[in-house]
Amino acid sequence: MPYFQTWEEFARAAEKLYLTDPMKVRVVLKYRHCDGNLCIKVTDNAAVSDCLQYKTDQAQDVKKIEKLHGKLMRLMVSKETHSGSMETD
Amino acid sequence: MALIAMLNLASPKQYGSFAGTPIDFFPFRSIVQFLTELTRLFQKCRTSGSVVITLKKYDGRTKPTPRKGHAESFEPVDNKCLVRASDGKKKISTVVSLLTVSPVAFCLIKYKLLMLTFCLFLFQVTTKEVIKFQMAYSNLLRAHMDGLKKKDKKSKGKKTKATQ
Repeated sequence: MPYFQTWEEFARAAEKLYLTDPMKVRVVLKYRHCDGNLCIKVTDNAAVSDCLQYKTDQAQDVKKIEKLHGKLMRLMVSKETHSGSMETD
Repeated sequence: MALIAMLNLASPKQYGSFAGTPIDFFPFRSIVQFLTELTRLFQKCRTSGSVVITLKKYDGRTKPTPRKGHAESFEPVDNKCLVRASDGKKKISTVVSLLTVSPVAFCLIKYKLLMLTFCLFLFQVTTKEVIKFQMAYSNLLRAHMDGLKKKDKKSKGKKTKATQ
């Protein structure tokens, strides 16, 4: 799966993928200081096309990525989203 | 380090007193310990290597799923989140939960001291803990991910190039 070109597109797709099956999705954050890049990946291991990736070397993107990371973490610890998705299963 | 001090929680050593508790969370680090070790991972990977942090929803399962035909007494919980971090060699992990993380709360349950009175107190302590963890965690990430390029007007075309 190629990297997403724009952050907005990635953020939307990542959240959508998470909500389809919260139990399966994992969010991976990879940071390489020596190369100065940061990569975020969201996948549910189902199909190759379902792996979403975004890579950056811009300092301004750290805040955005970290924000999404925190948002997904909050979704994971909150009960409401899970019960909501369980109904759709 | 100041961030971790901010959490102001019981030291991981105290976890030894939970040997008899029904909930087994020994494979996981305490939140404070996790943040300390994550800081160390970031420092270690400054010259070479990369830090990988994984986030996943966790249902509290400690035993594998039984085969078909076998009864399962396991009831999944839906308010936990597993956080793993690795540099390729060392692996650390912790569980962030909306409830039942606080060491104080565990002690209270263990010794059955005024359960009802402390229920509200327990909830307050633990929900605060999640917020504290998130604050400390996001501050830690922002502080250590400082090796990226600063915004530069001249290199406007670089971003699109890098994301390809």
